[in-house]
Amino acid sequence: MENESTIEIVHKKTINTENSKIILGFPEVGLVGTIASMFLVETLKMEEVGYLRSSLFPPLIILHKGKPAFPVRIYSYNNTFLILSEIPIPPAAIFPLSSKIVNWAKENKADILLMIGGLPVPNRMDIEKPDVFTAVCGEKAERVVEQLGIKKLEEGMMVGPYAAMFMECYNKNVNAVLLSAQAFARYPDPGAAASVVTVLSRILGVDIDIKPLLERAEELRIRLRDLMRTTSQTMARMGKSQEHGIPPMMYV
Amino acid sequence: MGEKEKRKDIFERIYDIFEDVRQRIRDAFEEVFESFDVEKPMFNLKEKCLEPLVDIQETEDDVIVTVDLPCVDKDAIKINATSDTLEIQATMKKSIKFNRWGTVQEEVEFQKFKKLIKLPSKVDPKRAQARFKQGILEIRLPKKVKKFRIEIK
Repeated sequence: MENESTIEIVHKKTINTENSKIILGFPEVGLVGTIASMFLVETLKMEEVGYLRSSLFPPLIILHKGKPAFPVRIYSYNNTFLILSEIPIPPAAIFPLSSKIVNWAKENKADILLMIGGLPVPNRMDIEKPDVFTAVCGEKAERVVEQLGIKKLEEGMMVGPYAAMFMECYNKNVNAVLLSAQAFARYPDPGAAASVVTVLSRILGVDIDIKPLLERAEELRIRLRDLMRTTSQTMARMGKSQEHGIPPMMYV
Repeated sequence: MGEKEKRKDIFERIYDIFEDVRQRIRDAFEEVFESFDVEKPMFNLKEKCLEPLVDIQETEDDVIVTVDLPCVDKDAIKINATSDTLEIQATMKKSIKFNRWGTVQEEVEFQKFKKLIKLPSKVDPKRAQARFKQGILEIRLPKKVKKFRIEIK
Protein backbone atom coordinates (compact mmCIF):
# COMPACT_ATOMS: atom_id res chain seq x y z
CA MET A 1 0.00 0.00 0.00
CA GLU A 2 2.66 2.50 1.07
CA ASN A 3 6.15 2.96 -0.21
CA GLU A 4 7.99 0.63 2.12
CA SER A 5 11.25 1.19 0.25
CA THR A 6 11.69 4.27 2.43
CA ILE A 7 12.39 1.89 5.34
CA GLU A 8 15.40 -0.40 5.42
CA ILE A 9 15.90 -3.35 7.77
CA VAL A 10 19.62 -3.81 8.34
CA HIS A 11 20.85 -7.11 9.74
CA LYS A 12 24.06 -6.86 11.74
CA LYS A 13 24.14 -10.65 11.90
CA THR A 14 22.60 -13.46 9.92
CA ILE A 15 19.29 -14.17 11.54
CA ASN A 16 16.68 -16.83 11.05
CA THR A 17 13.17 -15.75 11.89
CA GLU A 18 11.49 -18.97 10.72
CA ASN A 19 8.76 -19.95 13.20
CA SER A 20 9.87 -17.13 15.47
CA LYS A 21 7.87 -14.75 17.59
CA ILE A 22 8.43 -11.08 16.82
CA ILE A 23 7.68 -8.60 19.59
CA LEU A 24 7.06 -4.95 18.73
CA GLY A 25 7.57 -2.31 21.42
CA PHE A 26 6.88 1.22 20.25
CA PRO A 27 6.44 4.38 22.35
CA GLU A 28 2.74 4.98 22.74
CA VAL A 29 0.23 5.21 25.60
CA GLY A 30 2.17 5.28 28.92
CA LEU A 31 5.32 4.21 27.04
CA VAL A 32 4.23 0.69 27.97
CA GLY A 33 5.76 -0.92 24.87
CA THR A 34 9.08 0.85 25.32
CA ILE A 35 9.40 0.17 29.05
CA ALA A 36 8.44 -3.50 28.66
CA SER A 37 10.84 -3.91 25.72
CA MET A 38 13.78 -2.30 27.50
CA PHE A 39 13.12 -4.51 30.50
CA LEU A 40 13.03 -7.63 28.30
CA VAL A 41 16.32 -6.69 26.60
CA GLU A 42 17.97 -6.23 29.97
CA THR A 43 16.45 -9.23 31.75
CA LEU A 44 16.80 -11.78 28.94
CA LYS A 45 20.15 -10.30 27.91
CA MET A 46 18.90 -10.04 24.35
CA GLU A 47 21.47 -9.50 21.63
CA GLU A 48 21.26 -6.58 19.20
CA VAL A 49 21.10 -8.13 15.73
CA GLY A 50 19.96 -5.27 13.52
CA TYR A 51 18.26 -1.92 13.14
CA LEU A 52 15.82 -0.04 10.98
CA ARG A 53 16.72 3.14 9.15
CA SER A 54 14.58 5.57 7.22
CA SER A 55 14.55 9.14 5.95
CA LEU A 56 11.08 9.31 7.51
CA PHE A 57 12.58 9.00 11.00
CA PRO A 58 13.95 12.13 12.68
CA PRO A 59 17.69 12.72 12.14
CA LEU A 60 18.56 11.26 15.52
CA ILE A 61 21.13 8.86 16.87
CA ILE A 62 21.32 7.42 20.38
CA LEU A 63 24.66 7.53 22.19
CA HIS A 64 25.18 4.86 24.80
CA LYS A 65 28.52 4.34 26.55
CA GLY A 66 30.05 6.54 23.87
CA LYS A 67 28.80 4.39 21.00
CA PRO A 68 26.13 5.42 18.49
CA ALA A 69 23.01 3.32 18.03
CA PHE A 70 19.99 3.60 15.75
CA PRO A 71 16.82 4.46 17.66
CA VAL A 72 14.81 1.57 16.16
CA ARG A 73 16.67 -1.67 16.79
CA ILE A 74 16.19 -5.43 16.51
CA TYR A 75 17.14 -7.76 19.34
CA SER A 76 17.04 -11.53 19.60
CA TYR A 77 16.78 -14.17 22.28
CA ASN A 78 16.59 -17.82 21.17
CA ASN A 79 13.79 -17.87 18.62
CA THR A 80 12.25 -14.57 19.74
CA PHE A 81 12.92 -11.22 18.09
CA LEU A 82 12.13 -7.80 19.46
CA ILE A 83 11.85 -4.55 17.52
CA LEU A 84 12.26 -1.69 19.97
CA SER A 85 11.89 1.99 19.23
CA GLU A 86 13.29 4.78 21.36
CA ILE A 87 11.48 7.41 19.28
CA PRO A 88 7.75 7.86 18.73
CA ILE A 89 6.99 6.67 15.19
CA PRO A 90 6.33 9.81 13.10
CA PRO A 91 2.86 9.69 11.46
CA ALA A 92 4.43 9.76 7.94
CA ALA A 93 6.46 6.63 8.74
CA ILE A 94 3.62 4.54 10.19
CA PHE A 95 2.30 2.91 7.00
CA PRO A 96 5.67 2.27 5.30
CA LEU A 97 7.06 0.88 8.56
CA SER A 98 4.06 -1.41 9.14
CA SER A 99 4.21 -2.67 5.60
CA LYS A 100 7.96 -3.29 5.84
CA ILE A 101 7.81 -5.17 9.15
CA VAL A 102 4.83 -7.33 8.22
CA ASN A 103 6.37 -8.23 4.84
CA TRP A 104 9.68 -9.00 6.55
CA ALA A 105 7.87 -11.26 9.04
CA LYS A 106 5.93 -13.03 6.26
CA GLU A 107 8.87 -13.47 3.88
CA ASN A 108 11.02 -14.84 6.70
CA LYS A 109 8.22 -17.19 7.82
CA ALA A 110 7.83 -15.77 11.32
CA ASP A 111 5.20 -17.48 13.43
CA ILE A 112 3.43 -14.54 15.05
CA LEU A 113 3.72 -10.80 15.75
CA LEU A 114 3.24 -9.70 19.36
CA MET A 115 2.53 -6.00 19.77
CA ILE A 116 2.81 -4.59 23.27
CA GLY A 117 1.30 -1.31 24.42
CA GLY A 118 -1.05 0.53 26.71
CA LEU A 119 -4.78 1.06 26.81
CA PRO A 120 -5.59 4.57 28.09
CA VAL A 121 -8.05 4.38 30.98
CA PRO A 122 -9.30 7.48 32.80
CA ASN A 123 -9.46 5.71 36.20
CA ARG A 124 -5.89 4.34 36.09
CA MET A 125 -5.15 6.09 39.42
CA ASP A 126 -7.58 3.75 41.14
CA ILE A 127 -6.23 0.56 39.54
CA GLU A 128 -3.56 -1.20 41.60
CA LYS A 129 -2.73 -3.95 39.11
CA PRO A 130 -3.59 -3.12 35.50
CA ASP A 131 -5.43 -5.74 33.45
CA VAL A 132 -4.19 -6.74 30.03
CA PHE A 133 -6.58 -6.78 27.10
CA THR A 134 -5.96 -8.29 23.73
CA ALA A 135 -6.91 -7.98 20.09
CA VAL A 136 -6.02 -10.65 17.57
CA CYS A 137 -5.62 -11.24 13.87
CA GLY A 138 -5.54 -14.80 12.51
CA GLU A 139 -6.56 -18.25 13.74
CA LYS A 140 -3.26 -19.11 15.36
CA ALA A 141 -3.34 -15.82 17.25
CA GLU A 142 -6.87 -16.68 18.43
CA ARG A 143 -5.63 -19.98 19.84
CA VAL A 144 -2.70 -18.30 21.63
CA VAL A 145 -5.04 -15.85 23.34
CA GLU A 146 -7.61 -18.55 24.24
CA GLN A 147 -4.93 -20.42 26.18
CA LEU A 148 -4.07 -17.28 28.13
CA GLY A 149 -7.64 -16.63 29.16
CA ILE A 150 -7.31 -12.84 28.97
CA LYS A 151 -10.02 -10.39 28.03
CA LYS A 152 -10.49 -9.41 24.41
CA LEU A 153 -11.15 -5.90 23.16
CA GLU A 154 -14.48 -6.58 21.51
CA GLU A 155 -15.53 -3.09 20.42
CA GLY A 156 -13.55 0.09 19.96
CA MET A 157 -11.01 1.84 17.79
CA MET A 158 -7.27 1.54 17.48
CA VAL A 159 -5.18 4.42 16.21
CA GLY A 160 -1.45 4.55 15.54
CA PRO A 161 1.38 2.21 14.51
CA TYR A 162 -0.27 -0.93 15.93
CA ALA A 163 -3.51 -0.14 14.08
CA ALA A 164 -1.57 0.12 10.81
CA MET A 165 0.28 -3.08 11.70
CA PHE A 166 -3.05 -4.85 12.23
CA MET A 167 -4.32 -3.67 8.84
CA GLU A 168 -1.22 -5.11 7.17
CA CYS A 169 -1.45 -8.38 9.10
CA TYR A 170 -5.11 -8.75 8.19
CA ASN A 171 -4.36 -7.98 4.55
CA LYS A 172 -1.41 -10.38 4.32
CA ASN A 173 -2.72 -13.18 6.53
CA VAL A 174 -0.10 -12.78 9.22
CA ASN A 175 -0.95 -13.83 12.78
CA ALA A 176 -0.78 -11.00 15.29
CA VAL A 177 -1.66 -10.42 18.92
CA LEU A 178 -1.94 -7.04 20.60
CA LEU A 179 -1.32 -7.04 24.36
CA SER A 180 -2.53 -3.79 25.83
CA ALA A 181 -2.44 -3.03 29.55
CA GLN A 182 -4.62 -0.45 31.28
CA ALA A 183 -2.33 2.59 31.50
CA PHE A 184 -1.95 6.30 32.09
CA ALA A 185 -2.21 7.91 28.66
CA ARG A 186 0.35 10.65 29.21
CA TYR A 187 2.58 9.37 32.01
CA PRO A 188 5.20 6.62 31.80
CA ASP A 189 3.55 3.57 33.33
CA PRO A 190 5.99 0.85 34.49
CA GLY A 191 3.12 -0.87 36.38
CA ALA A 192 1.26 -1.39 33.10
CA ALA A 193 4.50 -2.57 31.47
CA ALA A 194 4.90 -5.14 34.26
CA SER A 195 1.40 -6.50 33.54
CA VAL A 196 2.24 -6.86 29.85
CA VAL A 197 5.54 -8.60 30.61
CA THR A 198 3.70 -11.07 32.86
CA VAL A 199 1.38 -12.10 30.01
CA LEU A 200 4.18 -12.05 27.46
CA SER A 201 6.32 -14.38 29.58
CA ARG A 202 3.52 -16.96 29.40
CA ILE A 203 3.40 -16.72 25.59
CA LEU A 204 7.18 -17.00 25.34
CA GLY A 205 7.32 -19.79 27.93
CA VAL A 206 10.02 -17.97 29.88
CA ASP A 207 9.97 -17.11 33.59
CA ILE A 208 10.45 -13.37 34.00
CA ASP A 209 10.51 -11.77 37.45
CA ILE A 210 8.81 -8.34 37.23
CA LYS A 211 9.94 -7.27 40.71
CA PRO A 212 13.07 -5.42 39.47
CA LEU A 213 10.89 -3.46 37.05
CA LEU A 214 8.45 -2.43 39.78
CA GLU A 215 11.33 -1.51 42.10
CA ARG A 216 12.70 0.88 39.48
CA ALA A 217 9.29 2.27 38.55
CA GLU A 218 9.72 5.72 40.13
CA GLU A 219 13.18 6.23 38.65
CA LEU A 220 11.90 5.18 35.21
CA ARG A 221 9.02 7.63 35.45
CA ILE A 222 11.55 10.42 35.98
CA ARG A 223 13.96 9.28 33.27
CA LEU A 224 11.28 8.87 30.62
CA ARG A 225 9.57 12.26 31.02
CA ASP A 226 11.07 13.74 27.85
CA LEU A 227 10.21 10.73 25.70
CA MET A 228 6.69 10.77 27.14
CA ARG A 229 6.29 14.43 26.25
CA THR A 230 7.36 13.97 22.62
CA THR A 231 5.28 10.79 22.37
CA SER A 232 2.19 12.65 23.63
CA GLN A 233 2.74 15.33 20.97
CA THR A 234 3.09 12.66 18.26
CA MET A 235 -0.01 10.79 19.49
CA ALA A 236 -2.01 14.03 19.34
CA ARG A 237 -0.89 14.55 15.72
CA MET A 238 -2.05 11.08 14.69
CA GLY A 239 -5.47 11.51 16.31
CA LYS A 240 -4.89 8.99 19.11
CA SER A 241 -7.68 10.56 21.16
CA GLN A 242 -10.17 8.93 18.78
CA GLU A 243 -9.59 5.72 20.75
CA HIS A 244 -11.71 7.23 23.53
CA GLY A 245 -14.64 7.54 21.13
CA ILE A 246 -17.41 5.06 20.54
CA PRO A 247 -17.22 3.64 17.02
CA PRO A 248 -20.26 3.56 14.76
CA MET A 249 -21.64 0.04 15.05
CA MET A 250 -20.84 -2.21 12.14
CA TYR A 251 -24.02 -4.22 12.55
CA VAL A 252 -26.86 -2.52 14.36
CA MET B 1 -16.92 53.01 58.10
CA GLY B 2 -14.60 53.01 61.14
CA GLU B 3 -10.85 53.83 60.98
CA LYS B 4 -9.94 50.15 61.44
CA GLU B 5 -12.14 49.02 58.51
CA LYS B 6 -10.77 51.82 56.31
CA ARG B 7 -7.17 50.68 56.98
CA LYS B 8 -8.11 47.09 56.29
CA ASP B 9 -9.75 48.18 53.07
CA ILE B 10 -6.59 50.04 51.93
CA PHE B 11 -4.38 47.03 52.69
CA GLU B 12 -6.72 44.72 50.77
CA ARG B 13 -6.58 47.05 47.76
CA ILE B 14 -2.79 47.23 47.90
CA TYR B 15 -2.67 43.42 48.15
CA ASP B 16 -4.98 43.15 45.12
CA ILE B 17 -2.75 45.51 43.12
CA PHE B 18 0.33 43.44 43.98
CA GLU B 19 -1.49 40.22 43.15
CA ASP B 20 -2.55 41.68 39.82
CA VAL B 21 1.02 42.75 38.94
CA ARG B 22 2.33 39.32 40.00
CA GLN B 23 -0.25 37.64 37.80
CA ARG B 24 0.65 39.80 34.78
CA ILE B 25 4.33 38.92 35.20
CA ARG B 26 3.46 35.22 35.42
CA ASP B 27 1.29 35.46 32.29
CA ALA B 28 4.05 37.23 30.36
CA PHE B 29 6.56 34.52 31.33
CA GLU B 30 4.15 31.74 30.45
CA GLU B 31 3.41 33.32 27.07
CA VAL B 32 7.11 33.51 26.21
CA PHE B 33 7.81 29.95 27.34
CA GLU B 34 4.73 28.46 25.66
CA SER B 35 6.01 29.60 22.27
CA PHE B 36 9.21 27.61 22.89
CA ASP B 37 7.48 24.64 24.48
CA VAL B 38 9.32 21.89 22.61
CA GLU B 39 12.77 23.30 23.27
CA LYS B 40 12.14 24.22 26.88
CA PRO B 41 14.05 21.80 29.10
CA MET B 42 12.08 19.97 31.75
CA PHE B 43 14.65 20.62 34.46
CA ASN B 44 16.47 23.42 36.23
CA LEU B 45 19.97 22.40 37.31
CA LYS B 46 20.55 25.52 39.40
CA GLU B 47 17.42 24.97 41.48
CA LYS B 48 17.90 21.17 41.36
CA CYS B 49 14.31 20.80 40.27
CA LEU B 50 12.42 18.90 37.61
CA GLU B 51 9.30 19.93 35.77
CA PRO B 52 6.66 17.24 36.17
CA LEU B 53 4.45 15.93 33.39
CA VAL B 54 1.02 17.52 33.56
CA ASP B 55 -2.31 16.75 31.96
CA ILE B 56 -5.27 19.15 31.94
CA GLN B 57 -8.82 18.05 31.17
CA GLU B 58 -11.97 20.13 31.21
CA THR B 59 -15.51 19.04 31.96
CA GLU B 60 -18.57 21.26 31.87
CA ASP B 61 -18.12 22.17 35.53
CA ASP B 62 -14.48 21.48 36.41
CA VAL B 63 -10.90 21.82 35.31
CA ILE B 64 -9.10 18.59 36.24
CA VAL B 65 -5.32 18.75 36.49
CA THR B 66 -3.21 15.65 37.05
CA VAL B 67 0.51 15.80 37.78
CA ASP B 68 3.02 12.94 37.69
CA LEU B 69 5.04 13.12 40.92
CA PRO B 70 7.16 9.99 41.38
CA CYS B 71 9.44 9.74 44.45
CA VAL B 72 7.18 12.09 46.40
CA ASP B 73 5.13 11.67 49.60
CA LYS B 74 1.74 13.34 49.98
CA ASP B 75 2.92 15.60 52.82
CA ALA B 76 5.74 17.02 50.71
CA ILE B 77 3.40 18.56 48.12
CA LYS B 78 2.49 22.25 48.17
CA ILE B 79 -0.30 23.50 45.97
CA ASN B 80 -1.14 27.16 45.49
CA ALA B 81 -4.01 28.20 43.29
CA THR B 82 -5.43 31.45 41.97
CA SER B 83 -8.45 31.81 39.72
CA ASP B 84 -6.37 30.99 36.65
CA THR B 85 -3.08 29.44 37.78
CA LEU B 86 -1.92 26.47 39.76
CA GLU B 87 1.50 26.25 41.32
CA ILE B 88 2.85 22.85 42.33
CA GLN B 89 5.97 22.24 44.39
CA ALA B 90 6.99 18.88 45.78
CA THR B 91 10.14 17.72 47.53
CA MET B 92 11.33 14.22 46.67
CA LYS B 93 11.73 11.68 49.48
CA LYS B 94 15.35 11.25 48.41
CA SER B 95 17.33 13.19 45.87
CA ILE B 96 17.70 11.54 42.49
CA LYS B 97 21.15 11.40 40.94
CA PHE B 98 22.01 10.86 37.31
CA ASN B 99 25.61 10.15 36.31
CA ARG B 100 25.65 11.74 32.89
CA TRP B 101 22.68 13.97 32.46
CA GLY B 102 21.74 15.17 28.96
CA THR B 103 23.93 17.75 27.30
CA VAL B 104 25.74 18.76 30.50
CA GLN B 105 27.27 15.25 30.72
CA GLU B 106 27.88 15.65 34.43
CA GLU B 107 26.51 14.08 37.56
CA VAL B 108 23.37 15.96 38.48
CA GLU B 109 21.03 15.74 41.39
CA PHE B 110 17.37 16.66 41.61
CA GLN B 111 15.50 17.25 44.85
CA LYS B 112 12.11 18.60 43.91
CA PHE B 113 9.43 19.14 41.30
CA LYS B 114 8.11 22.56 40.41
CA LYS B 115 5.53 23.70 37.89
CA LEU B 116 3.36 26.72 37.28
CA ILE B 117 0.27 25.83 35.28
CA LYS B 118 -1.93 28.29 33.46
CA LEU B 119 -5.52 27.06 33.67
CA PRO B 120 -7.73 27.08 30.58
CA SER B 121 -10.74 28.58 32.46
CA LYS B 122 -11.33 30.75 35.51
CA VAL B 123 -11.81 28.59 38.58
CA ASP B 124 -12.85 28.96 42.19
CA PRO B 125 -9.69 27.81 44.04
CA LYS B 126 -11.47 27.80 47.42
CA ARG B 127 -13.65 24.89 46.31
CA ALA B 128 -10.79 22.87 44.79
CA GLN B 129 -10.21 19.27 45.89
CA ALA B 130 -7.03 17.25 45.59
CA ARG B 131 -6.01 13.63 46.01
CA PHE B 132 -2.71 11.81 45.63
CA LYS B 133 -2.45 8.16 44.66
CA GLN B 134 0.27 6.04 43.03
CA GLY B 135 2.45 9.12 42.66
CA ILE B 136 -0.21 10.99 40.70
CA LEU B 137 -1.70 14.21 42.03
CA GLU B 138 -5.22 15.01 40.87
CA ILE B 139 -6.72 18.44 41.49
CA ARG B 140 -10.32 19.14 40.63
CA LEU B 141 -11.05 22.87 40.36
CA PRO B 142 -14.68 23.97 39.95
CA LYS B 143 -15.11 26.51 37.18
CA LYS B 144 -16.15 30.03 38.09
CA VAL B 145 -19.06 30.13 35.68
CA LYS B 146 -22.49 31.45 36.43
CA LYS B 147 -25.12 29.38 34.78
CA PHE B 148 -28.57 30.64 33.91
CA ARG B 149 -31.43 28.36 33.18
CA ILE B 150 -33.20 29.31 29.96
CA GLU B 151 -36.80 28.36 29.69
CA ILE B 152 -38.20 27.16 26.39
CA LYS B 153 -41.47 28.83 25.54
